[in-house]
Amino acid sequence: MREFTFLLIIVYSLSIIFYLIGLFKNRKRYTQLAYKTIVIGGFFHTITFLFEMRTKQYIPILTIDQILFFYPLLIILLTIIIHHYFQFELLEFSTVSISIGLMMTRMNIAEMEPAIQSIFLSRFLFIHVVFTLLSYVFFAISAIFSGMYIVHNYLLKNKVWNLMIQKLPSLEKLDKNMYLLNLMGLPLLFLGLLIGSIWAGAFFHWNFFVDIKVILSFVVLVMYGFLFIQKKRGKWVKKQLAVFNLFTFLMILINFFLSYHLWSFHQWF
Amino acid sequence: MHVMVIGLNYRTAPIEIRERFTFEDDTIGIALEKLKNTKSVLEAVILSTCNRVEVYAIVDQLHTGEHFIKKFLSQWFDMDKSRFTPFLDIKVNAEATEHLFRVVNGLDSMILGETQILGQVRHAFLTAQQYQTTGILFNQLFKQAITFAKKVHTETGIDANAVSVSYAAVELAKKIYESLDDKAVLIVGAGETSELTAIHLFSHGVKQVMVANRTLDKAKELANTFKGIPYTLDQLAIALERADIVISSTGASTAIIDRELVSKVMKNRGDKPLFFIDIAVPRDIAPEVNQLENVFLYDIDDLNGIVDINLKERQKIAIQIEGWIEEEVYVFYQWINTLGVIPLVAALREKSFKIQEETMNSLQNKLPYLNERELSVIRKHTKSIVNQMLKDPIMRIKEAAAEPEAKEMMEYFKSIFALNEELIKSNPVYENLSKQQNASPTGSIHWLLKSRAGLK
Repeated sequence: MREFTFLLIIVYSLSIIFYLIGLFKNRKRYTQLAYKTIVIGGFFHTITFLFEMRTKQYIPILTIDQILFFYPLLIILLTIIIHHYFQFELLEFSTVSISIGLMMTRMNIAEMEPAIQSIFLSRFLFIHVVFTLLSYVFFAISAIFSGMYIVHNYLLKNKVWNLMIQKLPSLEKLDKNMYLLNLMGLPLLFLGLLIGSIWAGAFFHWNFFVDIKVILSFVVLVMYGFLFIQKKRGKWVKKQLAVFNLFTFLMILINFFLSYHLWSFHQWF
Repeated sequence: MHVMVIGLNYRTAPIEIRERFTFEDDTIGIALEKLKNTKSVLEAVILSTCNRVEVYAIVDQLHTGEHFIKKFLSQWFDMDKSRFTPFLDIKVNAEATEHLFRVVNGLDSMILGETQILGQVRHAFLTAQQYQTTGILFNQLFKQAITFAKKVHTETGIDANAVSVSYAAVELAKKIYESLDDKAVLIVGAGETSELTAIHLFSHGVKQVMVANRTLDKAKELANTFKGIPYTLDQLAIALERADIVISSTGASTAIIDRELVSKVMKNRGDKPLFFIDIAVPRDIAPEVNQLENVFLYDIDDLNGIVDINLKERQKIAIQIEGWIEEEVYVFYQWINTLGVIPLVAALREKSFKIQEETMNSLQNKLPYLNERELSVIRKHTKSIVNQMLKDPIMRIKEAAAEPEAKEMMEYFKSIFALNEELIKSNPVYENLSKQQNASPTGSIHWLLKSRAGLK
């Protein structure tokens, strides 16, 4: 599995190189090549995941190293889907970079085998993990749009006319995409947490609520909900919404990584 | 035979001459036919735009061709040759071919890298095809040039960024708003540039236009052009609240839109951004306005700065394209060089397949019990043998056609495969080429070899 991860990192890194050449040389041939490389990487990524699933006889999304393999896969697959609707090289470049980052983190984490008990094979748990991870994928891409919005806003305000501003889509489009992705992520996160709570409530008798990861997850849910309300009220300017969105995603990352080091509730081994 | 381009354009001729030299769409067919029937002209394409009129022709002799095309132009436009000859730009062979590639890519246009010319060249070529004034050479050359230009535009995006102030303003507006369809534009003052910018925005989908002016009558006058709403400058705050894009160009000596006014307006706009374009000198909008959140202010210097950057970017891409053009012209000449061997190749293939067919007939006589399916399999395989045997010799002779000793090589080729003149000349390919070029196929490459030497 580690060797496959390493190979996938190389494939995705190749696409990053093609994107960079394409962006700086302003040649579409390279960005198209980069996309094709992502598709090849995504294909092998999926095959490896399915192979792992077949070998282990369960869906390998229980330990952090498994999640760090599955989460980038979801990001890559969503990137491929998005590419069919609009081709936006900077977004693809960012999502692949995130995926590489996640998989490199995985390389530094020992592979773990969960102590499989029947409770972990519950469909509820599976839905909880998949829904939550899917919402994280939407929030990650939404955060990329927020970052782009902040950069674009800065460049426009300071009248910097360069390759970056030429490649970025309009502020309105970035804001719209950010909102749309949050709109898709929010119900998924809500359902993921709800189903996870029902499942954990049944097995841990509601003690799990004292776990900081669980609390932070609900904090994140509330923050996205708040963001949604602020957007609807129209009281915040779009830059404020973008900054808050970025900050909320930072909370997800803290929750995702730090809690694994500091708390034990989500460690199934 | 030679490729020739004779014409005039915005660089070589003044407007007084250019405006007389225009081929109308409804009479261009007659002009093409007349040109084709002109002595020495074998193929012809006429490109007529507001900035250039060019006659592309394949002529059998340079001087005769030039003389008769000039005569044609003189007669067609009813103008003495001496009046327009000094303004003519004449290019021949490799230079003419290169010129076409530069023109179709917008490298010779007034606005570097514009793409409208590609459509115009395509239209000119299709019209010439419709009137059957193109032949083997121009069909290949124009198709290659058009395909190349399309590829270049997609690859480089040379026309992606604006190179005029009014277009730069539109481009900036598109950086803020996804679509301009539902946006409202406010024109403050009735300057020429602001009107032009408004026209560009209008053509990019803006539907609602407001005009604010010191006098309501003048505002009404301009507003009527866009079916817009007129305001006086006293009503500026109301108009600003409704606008998304503001173009200001008054003759005021001090700023008429200050931070305080915009700050008040922004409070009533929710999270809607406001884009100011200040074209006036002295400026109409206080620069501090740009410090407000959700407000973007660009003055004339900012816009000129963007235009300069974009222009430099286009020039950089243009240099890159020039390099590719050299390669494309070379490819065209390579193709031309193979023209001489096409009748030989066709004759060889005809001879080989005749042998294959005779073998099949003999086989059928000797093995009458073979059914249709078996015969079909054998036919397919014998054809495959012929094709495979011919593949390398054909490839080699095509390569050799581009070499200086091409003539000798072709003689060897004819001799080795025993391709006699009768066989070559009876081939339909030879007939077509001869008809088109009015010369022997091998002879037609002489001018090309000369041109290629110039290219290398």
